[in-house]
Amino acid sequence: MEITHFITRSQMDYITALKVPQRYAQLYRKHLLEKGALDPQYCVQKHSDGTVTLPVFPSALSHLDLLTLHNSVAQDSSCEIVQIQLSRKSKAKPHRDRMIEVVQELVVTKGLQWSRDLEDDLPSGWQRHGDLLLFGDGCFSQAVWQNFGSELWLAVAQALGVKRLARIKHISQDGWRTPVVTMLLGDDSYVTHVDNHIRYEFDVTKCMFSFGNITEKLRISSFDCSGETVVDLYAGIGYFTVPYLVHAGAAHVHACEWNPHAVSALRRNLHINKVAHRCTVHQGDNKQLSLSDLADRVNLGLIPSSEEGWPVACRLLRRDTGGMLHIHNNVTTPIHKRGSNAEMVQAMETINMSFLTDSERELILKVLHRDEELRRTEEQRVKRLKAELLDIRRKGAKRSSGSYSEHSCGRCQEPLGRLAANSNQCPVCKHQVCRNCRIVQAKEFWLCSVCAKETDLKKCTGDWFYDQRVNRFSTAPGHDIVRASLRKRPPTKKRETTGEVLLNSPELNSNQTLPVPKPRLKDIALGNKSPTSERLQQSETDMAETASLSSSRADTDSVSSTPLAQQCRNEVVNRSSDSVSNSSSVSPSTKPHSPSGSSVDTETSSLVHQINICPESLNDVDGLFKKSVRRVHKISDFKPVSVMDVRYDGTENSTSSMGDRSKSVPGLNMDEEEEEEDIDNLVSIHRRTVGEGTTNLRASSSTLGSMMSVYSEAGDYDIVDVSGDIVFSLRYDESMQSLSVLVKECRGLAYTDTAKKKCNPYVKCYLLPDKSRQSKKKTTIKRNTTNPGYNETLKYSITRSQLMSRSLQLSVWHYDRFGRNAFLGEVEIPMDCHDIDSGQEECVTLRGKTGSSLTLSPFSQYKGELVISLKYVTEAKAAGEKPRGKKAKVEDGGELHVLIKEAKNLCAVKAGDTSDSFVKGYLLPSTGKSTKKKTQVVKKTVNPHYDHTFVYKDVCLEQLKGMCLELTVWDREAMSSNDFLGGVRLSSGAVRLKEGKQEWVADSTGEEVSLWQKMMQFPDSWAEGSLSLRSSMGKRK
Amino acid sequence: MRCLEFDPVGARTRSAARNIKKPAKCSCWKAAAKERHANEIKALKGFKRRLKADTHLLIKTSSLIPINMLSAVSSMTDGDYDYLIKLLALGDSGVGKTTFLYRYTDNKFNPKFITTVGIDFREKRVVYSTNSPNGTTGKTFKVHLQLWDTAGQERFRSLTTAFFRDAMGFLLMFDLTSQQSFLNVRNWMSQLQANAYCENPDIVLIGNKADLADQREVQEKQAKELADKYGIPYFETSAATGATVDKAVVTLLDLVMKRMEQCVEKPEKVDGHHTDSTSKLSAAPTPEKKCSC
Repeated sequence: MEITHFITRSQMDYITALKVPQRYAQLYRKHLLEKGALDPQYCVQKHSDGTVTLPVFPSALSHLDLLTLHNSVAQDSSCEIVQIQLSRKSKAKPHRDRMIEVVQELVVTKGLQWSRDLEDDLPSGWQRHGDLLLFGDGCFSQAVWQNFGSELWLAVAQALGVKRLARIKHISQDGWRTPVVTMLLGDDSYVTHVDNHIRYEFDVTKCMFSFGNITEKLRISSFDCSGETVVDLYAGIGYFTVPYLVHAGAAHVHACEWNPHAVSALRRNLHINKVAHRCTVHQGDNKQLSLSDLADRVNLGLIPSSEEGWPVACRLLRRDTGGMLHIHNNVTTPIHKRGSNAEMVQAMETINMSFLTDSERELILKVLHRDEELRRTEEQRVKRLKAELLDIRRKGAKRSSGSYSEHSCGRCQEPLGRLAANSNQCPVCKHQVCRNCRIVQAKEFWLCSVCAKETDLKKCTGDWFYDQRVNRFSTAPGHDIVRASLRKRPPTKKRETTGEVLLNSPELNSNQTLPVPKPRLKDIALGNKSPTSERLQQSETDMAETASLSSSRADTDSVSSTPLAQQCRNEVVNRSSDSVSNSSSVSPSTKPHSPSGSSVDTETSSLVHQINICPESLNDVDGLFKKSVRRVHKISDFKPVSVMDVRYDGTENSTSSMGDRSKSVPGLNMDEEEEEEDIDNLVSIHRRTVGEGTTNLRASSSTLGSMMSVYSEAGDYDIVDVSGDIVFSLRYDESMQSLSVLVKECRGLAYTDTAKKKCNPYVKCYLLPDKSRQSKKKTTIKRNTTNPGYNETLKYSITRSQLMSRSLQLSVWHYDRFGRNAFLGEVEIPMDCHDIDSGQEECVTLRGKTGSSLTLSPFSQYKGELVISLKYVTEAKAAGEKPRGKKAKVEDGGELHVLIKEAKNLCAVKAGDTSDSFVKGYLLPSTGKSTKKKTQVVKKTVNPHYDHTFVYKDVCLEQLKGMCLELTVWDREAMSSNDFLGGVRLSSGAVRLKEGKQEWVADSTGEEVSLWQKMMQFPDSWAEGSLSLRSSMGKRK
Repeated sequence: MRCLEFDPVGARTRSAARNIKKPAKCSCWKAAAKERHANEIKALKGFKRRLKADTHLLIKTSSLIPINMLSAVSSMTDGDYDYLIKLLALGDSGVGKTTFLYRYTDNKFNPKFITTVGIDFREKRVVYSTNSPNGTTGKTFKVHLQLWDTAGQERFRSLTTAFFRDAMGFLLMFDLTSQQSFLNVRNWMSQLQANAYCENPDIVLIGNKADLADQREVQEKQAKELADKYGIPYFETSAATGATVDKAVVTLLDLVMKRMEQCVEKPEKVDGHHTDSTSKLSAAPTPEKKCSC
């Protein structure tokens, strides 16, 4: 009804438009265009409230289902149909019309004939760089225009509202990509272009500006390159160089460019963006570059191909840790393909039920309940079957560990004949089995009763299927990981079905009383690499389905292309061209000279193209994939799975299996800590752990780097030489959203006590920067050995995107029950450039404590900013405000008002790249309830506005000098402990604070100190500042 | 026993519904519809005759394959079965997934087009018997089939694809009278490959509405070729007549059961090799893993 009403109105001076949030505008525009609903007659309009209106054909309204539209474009956005008044602004292409008008007038006044040809010769599109318009080739080409001279250009410029005009002929293929641009009007050919808060200035006649790389620029801006050295081999005017410096926070960038004009523009851009001091410009051919072994990343942003630069790039990468190559290529991406793929990814990771109507939801819920019924029956049956197996096993079976006569049946203990010992052996369990305890499976193939039952059970329980499914996305070799993960996993998890997940999801089940948190499956979102995409790389870029279709069944795999969520997110922005600048990166492995063991960088999301650094490397990668694919089948069929399950069942027989469901909700705490760990605990852990790191700088006489352990809780430890290697493998399980760290063994560890040759090593593991209890995992302690074998799996429930920002630290410690634990060495593996999918065993040499950048400066990692205002309200004022009754107290001093305004760019830890954050404040040294303040939780944003004031009463200025205001930002986590997002510490500098027994020095710096001092200096007035958040709140003793 | 119901009025409603769903793509659509309607009436006349023949054929074919279907063994709620096998039907909207399953489980035909909301499932118990190599029937098992029915409509896509991962086998269906639904088979295949429990799950390709011969748009050869490319069996079925419906499901069930056997058999052989060849260190704990009884 409403819509028809609109239509009638739209015939007047209103037009119908779709109102969408600005950041989704491009997506919607594209979508409407595809549907043919976008009315090109009118302009897209931006509004001050952050929305954009897209004009649509009124006739298209009836086909336009807002719900589907909104679901297929961006689910977390809102859109509505609105009427906008036809303003001058919204009129279509006014500029061109005006230009035609003006030019026509000019032509006529010159006494010339205006013709259709002339009109067609006027430009219909142009690039705008500030007040300069750049026309493309193929306009003003008629000889007629020569007669007009500058008069024409002036008129055109005026009509189009600019001051300068230029025309581009073509981009020359001279390797410098110099555009042949002639200025038509104006002399100064320098133009300014602003995007993503970066100003680019360049000479339009000398350099080319590429609009197409905006996606990649945005992606680079989202990197965290703090502490990294980046080399940009094709810097140009700094398209990527500047974002690396400004947004990604790279420590230093070496920019190489051989076009002297571009270099001058680059220098200028570095200067105007205030990052020149962190960049070295190398002018000339990058093949002559004398640098090597220094880069964490090399950017190769040359299209169509940067292949010539690859050897240089490899040489530039750090030998010790390796690094990433960002290689840009053009790929063709059919739009319709993308759409359906986006859906696929989405389907796998999150099931959004919001589009259902109530009655539909009801229906589905009914189905799910029926399914639950069936599932319950099935679970009872499975339980019964497993109990049967247990029974059979108990009946007089031999224990494999115990010693028993070789000549008795392994099952019934009856004596066996002495002959044909081999033929009596069960092929699976290798027990000698008598004839009665055999079950013939097929012709001449038999198994002992237990093994046969196990096989049977695997079929009957559906475990064969669930095991396959568990391994669907894993490429890890070896049975151990699977086994270990099975051991840790609640038995129900493996068998969890979509129906079950859905039934438990609050979205569908709104009247559910118990808030069962939805598994945070959504979190994979960014930077996610699913194995399908790996396979995609095998099949190169050709999405040509025909090719894959004609191949055999096995090969059809390559049709399935699951692109990455981010890819869709990012690149839809400029899907207008078929060819999108795409990048992929390859990170050479840690082995110094072989970039060939390369794992494909998981961070680059838009990766579709596999690049071979050298031919062998590609082969290697290929081989790896193939192998892993084959392996999958092996593992999946891995035998003792049901044995594991049975054990579980044995112990948990009494509990209802349906009741276990809550366990299947992946949480951060594997060890099931307290229901809600108090954040204060966490802070103190942060303090303790980091605090030690910086204090225990006892110079080690024995080792070069081994100075301290940052993370020993006890803080007491001895120092020994560091030697030996640690063997481990990593595997990320997509379906479980967990990282399994299999610590296999250590070899050749140092002796703690060289005289007694004593060593009780254990391995401790952290996912830095998180040094909290959640992140800490330990293996068992092995006694008296320097070559301990662990074969233990440490497991982290973490989303892939989160994992990418982490760094795995494995440290080896000697356990001494009476003395102090000794540090035996550690390794640190950044997860963003590590292959976590292959599960390959790695042997890494242990290193001493080098004091990584992560631990040295709490600011080394950008965690966002906190905007606050401080005001000290003096006694008098405070007294005036308050009733007299509290006079005695008032004399104690004034009040400190802390206005927590907002935070910016917080870390996103929740699904959909958001956080539910709040700020907590303490006025130290007191940590009591009286000084603890909290803001409300601001949900679903990384730029929250709190506008909350903490008031600390009864403090005087003198006291404040010796105090420290600690504000910490936390992500509120309903069922587990809150996540630390960052903090600030305000004080007047190196203030010594005493907290209980502990004494430490507040390490406030820069803005933190100046803001605090400003507050004290100017009482009764607000001191506002924006403070960088620390990534850790460690304290110095 | 086998009761095939047919309601000519209902059949017309079905066809009508089908026509409505077809987007008006070509200008001559109206004319085509008219023609189709005439054909329909013709088809209806020969319908009863064909019915008989089909029923006959059906019984014959099912006796050829080593599986005998029994009607519901007992009440469906108890756990008295050996295997729970989950199959899932997918394909474009309106190809007849729901009616196909309804025909299979209840042996009835509902000609009305009621679009499935998101997901649904039907159950059926059957007896599966393996063939031992010498040709005699081997063991028989009671199999409980959970047959998931999915909505073909685009708007439920995210929901339905999420259920792919729980199914052990797939009935990928298209409408023999709709070229478009056949073309979309390829898309469904890639959806399956991405979302199913493994990359090459067991699938049977089903061209439904084989009874509407005069409206046929997809030729058997064409469909067969595609199925061969994927290496999957192809069947032309009719939920209306019941033709080949059982056979299609049974073939899929057979594939799944074979896959199951492979899954449990393979590691034993592989492991056997392993323990022989690997060093003592890794060989030693092997019996422990297998038989810590």
